[in-house]
Amino acid sequence: MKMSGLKLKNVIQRSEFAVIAITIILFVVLATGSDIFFNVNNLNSLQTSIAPSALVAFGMMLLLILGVFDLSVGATMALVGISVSTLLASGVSVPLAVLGGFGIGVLVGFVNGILVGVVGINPLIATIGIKFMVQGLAYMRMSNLYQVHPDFPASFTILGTGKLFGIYYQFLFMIVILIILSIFLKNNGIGRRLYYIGGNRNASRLMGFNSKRMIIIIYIVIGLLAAAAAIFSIARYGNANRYLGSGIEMTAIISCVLGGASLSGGKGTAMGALFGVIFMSLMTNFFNLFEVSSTWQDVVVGAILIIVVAADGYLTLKKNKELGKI
Amino acid sequence: MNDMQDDLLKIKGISKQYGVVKALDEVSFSVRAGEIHALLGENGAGKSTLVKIIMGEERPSAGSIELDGKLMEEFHPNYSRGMGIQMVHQELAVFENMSVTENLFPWMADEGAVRSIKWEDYNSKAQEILDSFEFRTVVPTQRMDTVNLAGQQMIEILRCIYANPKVLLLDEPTSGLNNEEAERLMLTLKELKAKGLTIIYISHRLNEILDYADRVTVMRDGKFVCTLDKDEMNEQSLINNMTGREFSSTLYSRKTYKETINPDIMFEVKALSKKKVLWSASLKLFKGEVLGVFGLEGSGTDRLSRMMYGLESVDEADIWFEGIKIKRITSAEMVKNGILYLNGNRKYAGLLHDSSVMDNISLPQLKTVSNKWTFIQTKKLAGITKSFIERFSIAIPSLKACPRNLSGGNQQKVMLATNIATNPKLLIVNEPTRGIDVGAKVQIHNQLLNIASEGVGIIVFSSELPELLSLSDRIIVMHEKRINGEISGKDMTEQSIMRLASVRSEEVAV
Repeated sequence: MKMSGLKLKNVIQRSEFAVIAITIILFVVLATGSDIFFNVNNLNSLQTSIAPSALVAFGMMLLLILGVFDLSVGATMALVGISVSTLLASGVSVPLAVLGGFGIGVLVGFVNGILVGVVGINPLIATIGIKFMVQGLAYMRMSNLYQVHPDFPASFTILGTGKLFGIYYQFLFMIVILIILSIFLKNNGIGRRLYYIGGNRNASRLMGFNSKRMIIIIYIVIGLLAAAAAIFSIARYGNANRYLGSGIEMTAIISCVLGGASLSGGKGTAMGALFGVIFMSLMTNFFNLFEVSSTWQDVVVGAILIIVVAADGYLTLKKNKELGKI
Repeated sequence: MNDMQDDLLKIKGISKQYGVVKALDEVSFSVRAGEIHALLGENGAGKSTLVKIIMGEERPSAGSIELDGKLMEEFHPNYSRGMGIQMVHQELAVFENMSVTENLFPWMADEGAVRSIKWEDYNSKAQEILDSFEFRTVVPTQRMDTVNLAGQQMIEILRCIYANPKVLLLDEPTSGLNNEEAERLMLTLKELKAKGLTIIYISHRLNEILDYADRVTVMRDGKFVCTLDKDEMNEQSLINNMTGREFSSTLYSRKTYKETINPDIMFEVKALSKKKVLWSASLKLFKGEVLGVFGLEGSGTDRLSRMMYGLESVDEADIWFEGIKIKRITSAEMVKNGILYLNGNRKYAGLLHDSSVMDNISLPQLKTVSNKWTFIQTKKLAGITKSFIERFSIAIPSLKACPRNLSGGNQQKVMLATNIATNPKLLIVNEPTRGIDVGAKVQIHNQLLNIASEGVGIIVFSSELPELLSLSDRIIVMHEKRINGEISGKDMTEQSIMRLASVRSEEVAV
């Protein structure tokens, strides 16, 4: 028997349906209501805000599927940004400096992975501890200067500012990662294993799955993605400061949850994470273009988050009751 | 002497120590190739621990296991699986967030990391498996959380069977299935046995063991008691070996029924209904009687019990208690009236698994154990707890022990004690003895009959017919989401009740 994948009911029941729907509505409102939405500057700033945020959100989504998360990504971005610009300023070649940045991402991810996966510390505690340590290291580097203005070499700046047919390299890079992750999560045995482990950690142990190793690997992946996001950002703005990535862990988690993830694990898609991020960026854009005080933005985002999660929870509860499970 | 070559699995002096508790004490026995070998024992006898060790999920403190003449060198699920062992778990090991197909083939990633999964192949393979078992209520692409418990259990069983093991371990595989499903499973096991599969199988259903097992090993208190051959197996011998004492068969045979039913109605449900779930259901409980409610899987008994206690919403219902209509059907209102509900699933509800037994028992009656400054009087509380532990003969290492670490029977006793401690007027119990051993069962039955004789109203929902027959003065039978009739006193027999439960009767108006 073959099930049609395009039945309306199936589409609506997909976990990322809600966020795609509200993103489209927001897009239509912006497109019709604002004269400058399609302005090149606006589209540029949207692209360069979406791309790095989405990279981090992808990493967060992988962790959330596994049932864990990472609050140290923002601090990692700051440390990577400052380190890479310092390396460049001291004359290190671009490939080596970038490699150094990724090295930091891998290191932070590895430590997080060991703490959460092997030592068994709750991810909230473990990654918040690491966040403070990494943040401290970043600030230490920045104690004398507020910003690093290293006069980046052109071969570095191009990473942040280069375009192909009007689309930023970093945006294209993000799309490539999206495609790879979507295939990985849907059609690869290892990718599916994330859902097994996140869905039922105990049963996974009984099946003999190595969830410790998986947790370490995925923390390293988010470290790498955070490093990439940091490198694209400093290359785009031509400087690094300690506020790079600040608060991104929260917006990434919100984006993922809007996109169908759950803190209890076992669900979510890369596409959901991307639409969560697009939604958040369009919200910012909306408040800017319609000149509404940005303080209202947090209120609205918070409310939408709660509505989406509550609606999902209600539907799950109803379904379980119908099946007589509770 | 057995022919040594016939022994496929040899368990040699296996011990398992959890802290001070000896869960297994030098257990040794052998399992022959191609037999159905039942493991029997009271809860806490160590059966589950033993099969977990064979599966590599637990490491023994001492002893060794040989499979096919080869010493098992590691204790890890992957190692045991590699040796050809599979296990169906008592607590289902299923993935609710994934499809039926993915639950049937959880090891697909092991076939190569850098490889795209061919979903169509897997789904059609899954469909074949479901078809071969005539399991038609689910489709391969369905999400597991939309499958009911019995279906989920079936899928776990199919997963193990179709991994082609040499040895299949089953830890109470039929506990979540109805009779028909259980019978089909047992027939499948018989077929697999004919193909040479060796099956080790834990069950509390004696009839099942007598019908299907070739041999049975009985365990008690973590020790091996005996292995009986088919011709030595009968109900009496099994029960005797399990309990270690002559067990008069008073269990499951009620001596006296209330001859005359007191016409005063204590509790009455009028026309409780919910679309698609329950047809207008009405029932009465007379003062001083024990009312049983019976139904097969899917008949709606569980839902009825929850709805009449306000744990699930209803479309309409009138509920009266001691002549007064209960205004809002909520569990809080029920508790206020002295009506308590004993949940059928002790794992999810009814116990604070990580609080001490003392805290569990005190929680519903904090007022009575507190002084006027609202501080809890620990000594008084300990006294009350101790009296209940003695009354229910709950086996616990200390008052500080947590239910999580107790056996099912003891958990159930703690749950019952917690409820009885509040002196309820009416107790609704749902599956009071599911999955617990005979000894604990009898004790719980006695406690229920005891408080019934003190005037507490009792409504028992159970899927175990013998249990209802031994407890109830009157039994209401449900069939296909409606009440199908009632039988009382001497007319209550397994046959008469089973007929009402399986055949719709138009004439019985309730």
